[in-house]
Amino acid sequence: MKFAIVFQILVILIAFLVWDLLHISYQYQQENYYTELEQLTLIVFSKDLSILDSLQLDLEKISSVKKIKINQNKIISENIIESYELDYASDILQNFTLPSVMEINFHGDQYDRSQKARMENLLLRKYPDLIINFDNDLWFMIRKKIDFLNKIYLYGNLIYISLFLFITIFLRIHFEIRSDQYWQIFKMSGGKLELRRKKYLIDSLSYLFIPFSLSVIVYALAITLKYLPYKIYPRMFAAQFISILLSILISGIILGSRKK
Amino acid sequence: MLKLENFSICLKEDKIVDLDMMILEAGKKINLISDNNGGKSLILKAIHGDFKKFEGNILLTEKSSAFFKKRKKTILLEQFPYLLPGETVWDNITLPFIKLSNRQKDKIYELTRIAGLKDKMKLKVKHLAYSSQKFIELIRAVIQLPYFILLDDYDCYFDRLSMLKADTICEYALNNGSSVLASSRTRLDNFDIYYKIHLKKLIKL
Repeated sequence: MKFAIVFQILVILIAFLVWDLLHISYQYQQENYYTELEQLTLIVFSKDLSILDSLQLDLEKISSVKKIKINQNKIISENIIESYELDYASDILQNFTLPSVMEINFHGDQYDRSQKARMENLLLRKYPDLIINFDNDLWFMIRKKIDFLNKIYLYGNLIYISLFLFITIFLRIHFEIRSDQYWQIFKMSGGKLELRRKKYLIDSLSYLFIPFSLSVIVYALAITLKYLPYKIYPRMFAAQFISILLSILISGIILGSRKK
Repeated sequence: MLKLENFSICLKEDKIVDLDMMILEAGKKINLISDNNGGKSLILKAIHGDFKKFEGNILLTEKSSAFFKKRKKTILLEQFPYLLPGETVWDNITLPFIKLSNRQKDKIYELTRIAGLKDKMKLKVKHLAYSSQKFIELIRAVIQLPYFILLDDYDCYFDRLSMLKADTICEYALNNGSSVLASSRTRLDNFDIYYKIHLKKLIKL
């Protein structure tokens, strides 16, 4: 019976650690996509610098905006002259009015479809004269990849929880049935059967708390020793705890009077 | 004291056994004699609480309910030995105990010495003979000092010499207020009271 307890605790612990790994892989991939999104720059051109200043004030109210940079036309022309060694053409360039440029970068995790629509709405309605440059195709492609990844993660979790429940419930029932003979002999020997109920409860608490605590400790150690680049969402641990609790409850219902 | 009043067992409207009164006092040994299918096993199971299709009353009087909370009411030994074959003699004897007192440990050693099992305490039960296995069960029952020790088909457990050893083991329980009710097909020696099932009627000899 000791083997059964240790074996089940080990199985649950391994299942939790694999689950953590799946989650970390998901976060790693998601983070990559967000970085790609953050590197996409929305460029706004305007000959009137005051319009860009006004736009900057509006954009600062939007939480998904990560960085705003305004390049004034004078500085741009100086940069062009310096970069391409056009000193001889400086007089000609000064005759042209170059537009000022605003570069906007977004938080990858926040700049979703609704935020994008909000941004486009603001630019089209309040600043219709601005010239805008943004790689929409690439943005949509990355966004689609994120949506697909989220879908896989959701269904993957559901499948994993189902498998986890199936395996843990099956193991619990299997070992309880195997211990029936022991308890029958125990009863015939004069032992009190309340002990089985007590032992069932203690075993349940062991399955509930020991693997979960070990999983959290392993995670905390990995974070402290900087083996893990990402923090796992607390809801992930909540899902693990609820899953094992559910497994114990379902096993209890299936086993019914056997444990009494 | 155990008292069976107006007790009868019927299976499918066929009366198996009928008795007006049977009394078992504390510290006494009763031998219940019957042929095969006489109903003696069913009587023991009814007293033990495993068989409920009987009529009449089984009364456990004399002792207060607090007594039963502290002490096991009945322990039934059937012909089949209920032991863990992969466990040692010691583990099987101490199976029902959560904690053992030093006195109980000493008594176990003493009783296993009487049964000739003292040198086999670390042996696995599956390697032992049937009579040794029954000795383990008997010692396990006796050491718990239940109100009643019920021995079904007792004459099948041991030969004459082993039976004497078993009587000595039972003495410990009898001296501590337990009673022994043993069923058999033939009359056994060293019992205080004898009952026989004859023509489906239980009569005191």
